[in-house]
Amino acid sequence: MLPTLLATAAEGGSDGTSLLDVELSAVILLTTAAGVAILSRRIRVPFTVSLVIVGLVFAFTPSFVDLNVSPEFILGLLVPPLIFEATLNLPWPKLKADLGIVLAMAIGGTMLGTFIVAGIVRPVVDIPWLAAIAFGALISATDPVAVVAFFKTLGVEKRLNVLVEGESLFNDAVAIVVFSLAVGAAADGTSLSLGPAIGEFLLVGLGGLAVGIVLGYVVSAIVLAKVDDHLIETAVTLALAYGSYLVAESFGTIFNVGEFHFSGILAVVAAGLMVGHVGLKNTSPTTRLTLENFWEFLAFLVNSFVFLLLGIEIDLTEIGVELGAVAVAIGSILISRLLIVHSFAAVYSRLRPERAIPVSWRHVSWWGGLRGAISLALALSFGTAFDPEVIATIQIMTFGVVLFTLLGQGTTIAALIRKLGLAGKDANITEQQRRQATLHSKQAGRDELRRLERDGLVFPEMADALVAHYTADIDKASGGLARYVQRHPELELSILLQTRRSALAAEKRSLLDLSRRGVVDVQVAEHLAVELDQRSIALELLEERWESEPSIDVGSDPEGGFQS
Amino acid sequence: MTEILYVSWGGSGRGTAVRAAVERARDEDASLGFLAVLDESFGDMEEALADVVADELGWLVSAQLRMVTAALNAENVRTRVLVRRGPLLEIVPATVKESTVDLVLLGAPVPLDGAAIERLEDATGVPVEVIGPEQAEA
Repeated sequence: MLPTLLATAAEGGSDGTSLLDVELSAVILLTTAAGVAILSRRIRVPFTVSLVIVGLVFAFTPSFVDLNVSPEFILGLLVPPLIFEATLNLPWPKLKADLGIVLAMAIGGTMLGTFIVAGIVRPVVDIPWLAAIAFGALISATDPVAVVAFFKTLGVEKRLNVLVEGESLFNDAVAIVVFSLAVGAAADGTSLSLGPAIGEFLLVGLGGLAVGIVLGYVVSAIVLAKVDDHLIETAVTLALAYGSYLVAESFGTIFNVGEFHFSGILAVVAAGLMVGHVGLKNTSPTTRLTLENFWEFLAFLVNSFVFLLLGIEIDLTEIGVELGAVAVAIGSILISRLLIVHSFAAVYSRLRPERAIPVSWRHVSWWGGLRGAISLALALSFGTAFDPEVIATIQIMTFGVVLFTLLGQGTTIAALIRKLGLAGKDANITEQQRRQATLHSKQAGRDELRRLERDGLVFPEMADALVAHYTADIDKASGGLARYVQRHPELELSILLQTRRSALAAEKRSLLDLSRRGVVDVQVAEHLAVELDQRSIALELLEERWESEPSIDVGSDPEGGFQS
Repeated sequence: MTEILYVSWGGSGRGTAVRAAVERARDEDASLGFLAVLDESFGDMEEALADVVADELGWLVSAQLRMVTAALNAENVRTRVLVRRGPLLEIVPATVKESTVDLVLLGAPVPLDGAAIERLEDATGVPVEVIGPEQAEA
C-alpha cells in the first residue's frame, strides 16, 4: 500500500496533476500550519481546531490546494505515525494499571456505542440496518489530539490523560473492524451474524497485536539494544511504524496464506507500546532525545495535514441541506457516549474502589470524545456496499459530527475542565512564574547597572544609589517568592526540578564551549554531555512519577504480613 | 524518640507532607530519615539509567529537605536520605529493621487502606501513621 501511495504522490494527484502541484500544495499546507500554530497560541483556540477552520476556508478555493485525499492516504500514510507517536509516549505502567477500563471502554464501549447510535439513527434517517451499524462504528472512533493538548496546558492529572488516550488508541481499531464487518456483510448481501463476527473480530484484533508485539520486540530488543547510532535507530522506528501496519494489513498476501488480514492499527499500537516500554530503555540518552524530538515533529507535521485536510474535505453546504440527519447523528453520539462513559466508569469504580474514576473525569471523558481522521477516512471508504444516496447521507452525517465535536466540544472542553476544578494547579503555577520572572528581571536590571558603571557610562555614586534600589526590590521579590512557595508546598518540587534542569543545561553548554575552544578534547566533552543528558532523562522520569497520583499494588496476602 | 522514617509517595500533597514530617521530627526531638523508593511504577529501567535516577532522586530530596528545614527553622533536625529500589511494601520493613526507627510516617495521599496500614505496622513492628494534607483534614 505504501509504495503505491508514494508512487501516486510522485506522479501527482489521481486526476493527472503534476508532482510540482502536489509539492506546492504540501508547501502551502505546511506554511499554513506554521502560521496557524503561531496564531492559535495567541487566541487560545486548540491548534487542531484552528486548522479545521482554516481548512474550511480552503474548501471554498478548490484549486488552491491540490491533493487527492483517499481513505488509503489517511489510514495508510497519516494514521500510523500518529498512533505510533501517541503509544510511544503512553507510559505502560500507568496504562497497565487501568487497562481493564481502557479495554472495556475501547471494545465493549465501542461495540455498544455502535448499536446505540445505529438504533437512534436508523429509524429517523431511514437507512438500512447494516449502513446504520457501519455509521455507528465509524463514528465511535474518538480522536483525543485536541483534548490531550488541553490536558497538558492545563496541568490535568496524567491518569486522566492515559485513560482518554488509551481508550482512543484501541477503539480506533475496534471501530475499523466492526465497520469492515458491516460493510463486508452488505457487499456480500448477507446479514451480520454475531458468532462469526466475534470470531473474525478476535482473529483480526489479536493477529494485529501479535504482529505489532513481534516486530516491536525485534526492533526494541535487537536493533535498539545493539545498535548505538541515533540516526539509524530513529530510522528503524519510522520503518517499524509503517512496517507493522503494512505487515498486519497485508499479512495474507505477504506470507501467501490467503486473503485475510489483521488490524494494522492494533499492530502499530502494540509496536509503539513495545518500543516505548522496552526499546527506549535500551537506547542511549542521545538516541532517546533524538527519538522524542523526531516523533514530536512528525506528529506535528501529520496532525497539521490531517486537520487541514479534514476542513478541506467537509462541505458546509451539504451539511446545511441534511441538517436534520446531522442533528440526529450528533444527538445519538452524545447520548451513547454519555451512557457508556458513566455506566462503565461507575461499574469499574465499584469493582476497583482504589482506582475509582471521579465523576468530574467522566464528564470530561464524555465531552472530550471528539471525532476526527479515522471517522472521516472510514466514511470515504464505503465503496459500492450501499446505495449512493445512503453513502452520501452517512458521509454528510459524519462530516457534521466531526465538525460539531471539533468546533463545539473542542473549543469548550477547556472551560469544562476549569469549571470542574481539574486545572487547579494552573493559577498557582502562573503566579509562581510571575514572581520568578519579576525576580529575574530585577536582577538583570541590577547587573546592567554594574556593567554601565564598569564601562564608565555611569559614575559610581549614581550606580550605587540605583543598585541599592534594585537590591531592595530583589530582596522583596525573593522573600515574596519564598513565602509564596511556603504557602504552596506543592510547587516546591516543580521549582526544584526546573532549577535542576536549567543547571544541567548550563553545565552542558559550558562543556560544549570548552570543546569548541579546544580546551578539552571533543570526545571528553561528548562523554560528559551524554552523562548530563542521562540526568535530564532521569528528571523527566521523576517528574512523570510525581505528577501521577500515588498507586501501589498491595497484593493479596492472606497471612496478613509483608515480606521483610 | 530516636528516628522517624518518612516514606515518600509522590502526588500533589508531597510538599505539605514533607513539611509536616519535619515539624514532627522537630517537635519529637528525633532525627528524620527520608525514604525515597524507586518502585515498580518506574518500570524496568536499564541498570545504568536506574542508577542515575536514584542519584537525581537523592539530590532532589536532599535539596528539598534543606529548603524545608531552613524554612521551618528546624536546622537542628538531623536528616538523612535513603534511596532504595524495589517494591515499596518490602523496602519499608527492611529499612526499619536495619536502623533504629521507632515511627514510620507515610506521606499523604496514601494509596493504602486501614487494613493495609495495619499489616505494614505488623511487618515493621513500629507504629505507622499517615501524615500530610489528608491527615490534617481528618
